[in-house]
Amino acid sequence: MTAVVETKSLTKDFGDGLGCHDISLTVKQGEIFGLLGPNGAGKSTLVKTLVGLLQKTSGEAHILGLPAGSLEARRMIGYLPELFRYQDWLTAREVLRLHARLSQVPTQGREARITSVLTQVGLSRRADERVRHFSKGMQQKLGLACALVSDPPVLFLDEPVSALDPGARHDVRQLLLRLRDEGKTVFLNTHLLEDVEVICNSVAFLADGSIHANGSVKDILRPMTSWDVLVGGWLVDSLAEIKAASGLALEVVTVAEDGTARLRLSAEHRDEVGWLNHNLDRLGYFIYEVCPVHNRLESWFLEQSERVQEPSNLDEVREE
Amino acid sequence: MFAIIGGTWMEILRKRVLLVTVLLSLVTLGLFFAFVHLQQSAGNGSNALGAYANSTLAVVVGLYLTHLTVAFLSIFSAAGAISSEIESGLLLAILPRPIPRWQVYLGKWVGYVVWSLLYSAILYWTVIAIVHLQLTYPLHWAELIRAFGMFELIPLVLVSVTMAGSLYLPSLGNGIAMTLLFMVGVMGGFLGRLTLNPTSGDNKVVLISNLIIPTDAAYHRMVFALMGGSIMPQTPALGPFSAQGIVPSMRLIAYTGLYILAFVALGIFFFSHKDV
Repeated sequence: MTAVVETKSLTKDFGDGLGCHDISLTVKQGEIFGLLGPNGAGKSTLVKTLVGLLQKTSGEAHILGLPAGSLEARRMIGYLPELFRYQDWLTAREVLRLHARLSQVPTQGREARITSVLTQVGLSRRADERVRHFSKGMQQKLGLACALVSDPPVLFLDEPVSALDPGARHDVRQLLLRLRDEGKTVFLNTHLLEDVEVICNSVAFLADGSIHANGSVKDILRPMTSWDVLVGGWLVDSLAEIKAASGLALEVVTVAEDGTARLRLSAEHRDEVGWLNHNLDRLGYFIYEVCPVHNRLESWFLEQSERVQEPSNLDEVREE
Repeated sequence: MFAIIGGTWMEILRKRVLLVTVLLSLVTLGLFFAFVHLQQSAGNGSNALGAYANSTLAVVVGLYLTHLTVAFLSIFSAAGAISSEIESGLLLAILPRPIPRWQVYLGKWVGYVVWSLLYSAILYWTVIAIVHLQLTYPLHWAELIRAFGMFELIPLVLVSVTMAGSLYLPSLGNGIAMTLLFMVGVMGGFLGRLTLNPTSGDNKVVLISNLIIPTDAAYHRMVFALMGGSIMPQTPALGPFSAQGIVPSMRLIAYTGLYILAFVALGIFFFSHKDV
């Protein structure tokens, strides 16, 4: 697949050590890419450099093979900033008209396009209201509509759902998935890991201005070779008894007051799960639940954070 | 660029800047009308020369007051042209669009300049009309138009400097800084002319303040033009408001033109390289 966003040793240095450093990444066509990282990691700096708001210090960045920030590259992108405000003295339709003109959307079909994006983001009924009467969530939807109005092949969305209610978040997720299916590429900067898990193809973890890990979401979330088993009738010496009977590698995760315990089995093969169940049954325990343990993006995120971040540095990290 | 110009005008219209400005200007002009009416009722200037001096005094006082109004409007309408839009996030959505930054800057400059020029034109011609109708101020069109040209330089200078200032100063700070800068010109011209030996054409206080900000030079050259290009014997009565003694040269007016161009060019250059 074609590389849509490509950076090589991209650096934006603010002169005080902050910014982003030596960033090399590739986002392919039709992907939803999630940029993750703690506050002050440099995520917004990276996005702003890619869309031309910040001038790079060194390195290379290309959007569809065009130098990032150039007029040609900017024709290819739609951008929703993290800290945004739209002209509150205009109506939603007028804001979109302004952005459509700035993006050189052809006059013919411009109004139809505006109506279409207003419908896509769920603002068609409020299209002729002044933006000053909009809630934060509605303004975020308007921002998304502005990013979409020129029908760009690449979208940079900085925290696109942070102000939305659960219903609207769901709608935006569906919209992004539809856009991906249409072949568009989405560069997503967000803290909402559950959204990333559902819609992103690949992610990168940025901290202290550098990429510390990246990979496909599928690989990160792949099932581990562990199983959780919820059993009833638990006693103090139950673990030793079951281990002795089954010979399996077991550990207790939690024990509840009602006599239930969650056990974790490290197993290379499903047969070992069957063997554990057989032994539990034979020893008189109740088996309530058996399920494979999946890695979660949140635990991956926390793992990466622990690797790079020292608690004493937290207060010094610049707020984005 | 036309989208930016249109957007700037729309902002001025919708944010009720226009309404407030019109109302306050009507109050100012109403007061001026009352002042001129009192002058007429007092019947000062029974002879032709006296009447002319009287009407000239009214015109110069009227234009002095309106040039202050125009100056403050120009400064405060453009004080946050760039900085407040960066702070609020408005420009974050505009600048990634495929439009060169120089067009964004110039579009905003044109928007504010046209608005300020229109406003100052209305005030200028209203003052002239009031004095003409009440005190029969003679309408010498060539002089009036020449003077009008000088008057229009004032908002041009102030919008250009203020917009450049808004690249690095926050709205309020920029507004205060530009007002103080404008006052440097006013005070320099005022004090220079108060202490001036009328025969001397070389007053460094006036020159230096005019070089720092040439709005006062434009104002005094306007007064000189209104006098038909000569220093009338009555002008000492206008004191430091008149062009008496020091007439800003046309070289200084050419400098004003370069001053405007330089600030627009500097604004464009720094805006094009600015991290937003």
